[in-house]
Amino acid sequence: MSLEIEDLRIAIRGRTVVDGVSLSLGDGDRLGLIGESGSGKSLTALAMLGLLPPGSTVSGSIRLDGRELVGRSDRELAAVRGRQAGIVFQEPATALNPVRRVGAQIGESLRIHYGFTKRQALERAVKLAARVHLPDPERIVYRYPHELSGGQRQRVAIAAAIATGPRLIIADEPTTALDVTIQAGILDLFDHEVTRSGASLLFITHDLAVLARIVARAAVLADGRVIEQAAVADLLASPAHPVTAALAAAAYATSFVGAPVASRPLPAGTPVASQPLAADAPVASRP
Amino acid sequence: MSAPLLSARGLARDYRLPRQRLGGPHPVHHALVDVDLDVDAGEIVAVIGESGSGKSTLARLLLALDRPTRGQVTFDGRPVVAGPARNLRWLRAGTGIVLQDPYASLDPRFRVHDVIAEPLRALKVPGDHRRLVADVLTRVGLGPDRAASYPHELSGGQRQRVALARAIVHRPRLLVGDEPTSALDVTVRAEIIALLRDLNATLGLAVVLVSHDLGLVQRFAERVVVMHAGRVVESGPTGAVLDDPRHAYTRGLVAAVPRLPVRSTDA
Repeated sequence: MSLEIEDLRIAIRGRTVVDGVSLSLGDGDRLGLIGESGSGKSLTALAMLGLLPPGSTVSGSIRLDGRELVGRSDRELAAVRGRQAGIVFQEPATALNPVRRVGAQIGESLRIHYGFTKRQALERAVKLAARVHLPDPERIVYRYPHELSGGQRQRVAIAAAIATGPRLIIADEPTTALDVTIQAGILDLFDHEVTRSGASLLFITHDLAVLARIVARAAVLADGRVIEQAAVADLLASPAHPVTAALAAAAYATSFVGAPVASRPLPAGTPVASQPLAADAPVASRP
Repeated sequence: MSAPLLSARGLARDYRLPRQRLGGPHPVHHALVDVDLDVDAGEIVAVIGESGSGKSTLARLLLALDRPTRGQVTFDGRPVVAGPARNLRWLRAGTGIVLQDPYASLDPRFRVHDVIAEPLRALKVPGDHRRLVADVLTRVGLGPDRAASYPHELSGGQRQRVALARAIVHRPRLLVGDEPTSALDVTVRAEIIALLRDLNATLGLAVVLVSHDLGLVQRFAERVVVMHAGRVVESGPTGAVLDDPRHAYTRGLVAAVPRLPVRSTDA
């Protein structure tokens, strides 16, 4: 699904927070949005789905496959959210409803937007749970979010986001709240699902190393504006804008450097913490 | 060889969990199991691990913010025993702590001066407190003018500098940082790392850095202690452990960290 954003402006209670953002994403393409806190990257995504906080005003244009979204009613935007776009947020603990079973939440959009019965939706939820590598899918659908680990909750959120086979997937810092070994599995899952479905992907992050893992092209946001848009490799190697240069320099000054640990690749999607350790005994300390 | 500044032996912390059924036994969670740790004066040691590894529990026990179920901590040769503040003044005078979230750790009603001067008052440090606060503000890169500001007037990075200033204003010999850069933007994170390194070099401050951020640890720590499920699974010089991890858990951890593409200029 193609996405065209033109001169998007968002003000919250009179304060401009997104100030003329233009982006375009072709059908099946991936685009990263990167920037520091307050740069406007999350609000840009929320605007597409009509999920902005009360008191927000939006102008400009957001077109999904040529259909204008700005100015539509909440009801129409809800239909877009349910059928055509799936979104995964940073914190699955708050994005999921704590008092509803996992399976009901995975299947919810199928019931609302495609008329599935409770039973059909649950059957589908079991399949989706298996697809996102949740353990024991037949039983996990009857559990509540608090009974799951953070990584498992994020897999539930992904299953719910892809349930209707959306043509656009939006991910807003989907691994920021997770441990690094869990993050690796979730990023693998995203990569795999987006490739398999051929959906377009808008991936929002503040982490350039995560960005480089998932997308080839990204837009840099600062103070509510797109300051640069280019291949991630170019943003890192030859940034054109001073803000991008500062981001890249800081990333190289703080992120991990090292060859991959070659001899022991992890099976995709397996959280390290749950694997039996080769030897539970600690390794002798080196002087 | 001189004795370490900080030493922990056989440290363990169990937590009683709620009963599974009425009248049943309390299950016990072993948050920390038999941990040994030595930190020399002026040394930077990182404790790494993921959620639930016990690294924050360890940090709390080192500073007597919690009481171990078993084991012993000594600081500067004296046993550390959690208890009333008056019994711990010597420990507070020798140590400082910085936590993850600079928004939560600064009282919004206090001006920066009062936040930073608080340990000076509590520890009855002699001298001109106004002067000491101005000096430490300069040292953390904020400048004495900031003393009159309220926390809400500061950015996240500036707040973390204030938290650092408060942690070192009384000239401790050991700083414990529990994820001090996790809540910060990447450009600010780089500045705080540089500041910590400067404080270590110029003040001879020993640092115990609790972190899940392997990039930070790799650049900053001389020695690293890897924790998993409440135990130390591996420890040694940072380069040796991170370049050639020996324990299965450490190998998985290092393998999972996303890398930036190598820049030709870095080769």
